[in-house]
Amino acid sequence: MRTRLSFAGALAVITAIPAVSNSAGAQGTLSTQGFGYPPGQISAGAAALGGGPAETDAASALNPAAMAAWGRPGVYFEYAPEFRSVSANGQSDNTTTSRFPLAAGAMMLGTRVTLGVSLSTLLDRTWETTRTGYKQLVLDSVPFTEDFRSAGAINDVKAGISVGVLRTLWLGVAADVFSGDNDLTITRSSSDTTVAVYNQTARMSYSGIGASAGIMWQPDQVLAIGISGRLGGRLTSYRNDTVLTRATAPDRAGAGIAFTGLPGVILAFRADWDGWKSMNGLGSAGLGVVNTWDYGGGAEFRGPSALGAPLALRIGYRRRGLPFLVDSAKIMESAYSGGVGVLLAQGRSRIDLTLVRSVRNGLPGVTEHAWTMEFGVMVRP
Amino acid sequence: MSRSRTILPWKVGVSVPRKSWPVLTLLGIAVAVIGGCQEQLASGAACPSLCPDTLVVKDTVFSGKAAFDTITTVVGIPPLGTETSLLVGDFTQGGSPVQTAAIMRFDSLVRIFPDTDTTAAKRPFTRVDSSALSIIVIPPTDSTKDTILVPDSITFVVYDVNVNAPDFDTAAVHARLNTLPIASRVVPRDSVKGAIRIPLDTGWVAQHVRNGVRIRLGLRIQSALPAQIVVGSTEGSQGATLQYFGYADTSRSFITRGVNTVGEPGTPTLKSLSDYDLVLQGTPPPPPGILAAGGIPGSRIYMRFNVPAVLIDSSATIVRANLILHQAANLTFFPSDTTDTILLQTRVVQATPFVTDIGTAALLVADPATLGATGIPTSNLRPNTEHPDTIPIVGLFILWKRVGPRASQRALVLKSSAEGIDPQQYFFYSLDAPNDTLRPRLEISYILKSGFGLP
Repeated sequence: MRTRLSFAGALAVITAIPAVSNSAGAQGTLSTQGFGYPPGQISAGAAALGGGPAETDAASALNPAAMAAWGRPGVYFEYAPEFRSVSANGQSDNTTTSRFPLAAGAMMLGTRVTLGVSLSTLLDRTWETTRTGYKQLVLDSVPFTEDFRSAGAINDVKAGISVGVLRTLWLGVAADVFSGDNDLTITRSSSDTTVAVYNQTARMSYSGIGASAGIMWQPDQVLAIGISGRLGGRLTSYRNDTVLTRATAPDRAGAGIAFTGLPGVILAFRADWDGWKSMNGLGSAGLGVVNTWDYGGGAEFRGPSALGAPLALRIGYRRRGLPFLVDSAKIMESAYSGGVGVLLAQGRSRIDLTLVRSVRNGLPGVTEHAWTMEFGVMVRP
Repeated sequence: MSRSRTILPWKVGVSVPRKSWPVLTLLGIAVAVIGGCQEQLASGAACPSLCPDTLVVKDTVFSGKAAFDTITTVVGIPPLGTETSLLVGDFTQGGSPVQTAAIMRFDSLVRIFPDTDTTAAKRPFTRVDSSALSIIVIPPTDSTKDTILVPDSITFVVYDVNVNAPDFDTAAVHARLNTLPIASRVVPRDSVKGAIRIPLDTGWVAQHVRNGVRIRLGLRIQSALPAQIVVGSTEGSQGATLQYFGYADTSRSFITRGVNTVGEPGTPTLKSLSDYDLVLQGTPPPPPGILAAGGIPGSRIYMRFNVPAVLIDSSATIVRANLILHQAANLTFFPSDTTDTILLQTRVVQATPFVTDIGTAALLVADPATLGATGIPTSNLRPNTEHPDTIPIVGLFILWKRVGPRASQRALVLKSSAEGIDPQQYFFYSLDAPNDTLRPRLEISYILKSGFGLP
């Protein structure tokens, strides 16, 4: 057994990545309603194929069995800024947000066992809205500007093990710990000097548990199948250390398949179900939460060699529902993606650049478009 | 035993780049470009449909006893003896006369030759000469008013105002100012500045020095034209002095004695009464039902609020508080020069709730800005007009919330910027005004702290 990177070392690298949950997105948008936007817990490379290979992808934080695909100790982290445009009422807003949605690491114990840990954003609740208007105060109408901002996320910290039980079958289990904070600030000001600035802050914290399990089966040299699920445990919200609400962390189940039977081509597809509705009691009474399906697939082509390495050229498409309703309307997201993967250090390391074009709609009169650049680095010394 | 395992990668096959630095450089540039993105989160075009519920602002209007625990006029500001300067005037403004005098006490005089040899026998002064009262004339802060306030030569007139009366019985002192003066000096207009000596009768002073009798002087001015000057006081560290040469045998000593006072037997000594201003003719008391600020002597309007603690000390936040007053026209003393105006100032009371004397509380005030309370303007109002006035005081409520209920009274004072200097007075209707629209009231807008956070 050779361990090139200690588990503690890998964990230290992962936790040193600043603000894994520091994703962004403005409410005043379709995507960041409720407890926030689910980035998906998939790696940049998998995202380029519409999330198709996520069930068999080592870096994605879905299937614990897929940790076996690390092959050697390593770490992965991802940065994903999003450039979003929301159009409504004949007006549009452009926002730029930064995200660090995923970091992961793994180490080998012999040839059959892989230990891994990942930190991924489950729901990103970072947004800011600014609205202006006039308010009647006693007999006067005074102008106001109200700025409402939220920063933070609910994260999924997953620690698991993958064991090869047969030459073609791997089983994985993981413990999920959900934690995170939302820092919220409301500021209301006025150009009328008789009106004082109002400022209120609140910190919401979350904690919860869950358990994940999955299998990865390779019935043939050209076929890999991944199936995984998560059972959510109790999820609790706090305001300044006071318990506010309790609910159940969302269950999920998904399956994916990757096919390499065509020369130089990989095809991958995936379907995923998320039981967000179990979070219903975590929010206020009027919060609409629905379970969602997530479908996606794509292809990867062996590209030209550049700088001595073949480039992986990827395209994909993904369609999914978002968990939080807007005025009882269900929001859908469609995303076209493309990307490039570069292998480094004799294949031990990898850099993925992915560009995703998303369209989110469902509420009449409001459309949201986003360009997301996902930049992932996997290092396996 | 170890078996070989192959995991199907979903990625492309492996090639071996021998030189990876160009790729790394390219990717480094990409990282730099991506990392250089400046976050810009704010949006709002899709509000209100996509925006969270926001703040609810509530309004309430307090009037009468619901708004004010106490609202009254405090007359006689500054209190006798606490003046930092003394107005000595004889003028008319708006057709009404103003006459003031400065009273200076020299209750303790130097009567013994100041020997350096303290063991030597004491040698009382047997003779005095070159005696004089020395005063300091303080120039107006607005230098352009030099010739307006002192348009002609000034005659300084000094009276003997020593009376056997309680300290605060100014009526007897007032009566002495109508007797014959004991000294006077004419000073040309251009010389009415700085230190001015007014010679006193040497025999009169010598008699007081030798006989151990106190000297109390009253100072007035006379001029062919209305005039007013400001003389330094001991509170302003520019008090008057009594000067003379004292003789003991053949020895001579120049004595300069500042104003001072000694209480009557059995009464405390109030040092502040060493010198004070006495208003002979000035601003009359306000009519019934009227609150007044300003004048000679000065008046202040004291208001202590009765706003429920739930609005100040709880989770509610007051975002606007407007004090609504209705100003009544006051034509008395309104100057013909309409550019010569006074300002209405709001001051926050710093006395604690344990200070129950309103007169005292009305003196313990501060400029709100010095305490961090912003947005409380000084109002440029003309006293001769009648109209409603709005004074924003939300800054005071924020201050009171910050310091808590025990640190200071929740009270304010309205005063004139020329209190004790200009006879004009602001008039405002009181709670006794004939109808509601004229009475003071308090309009408050507030936001109850919301339990926001949960979507």
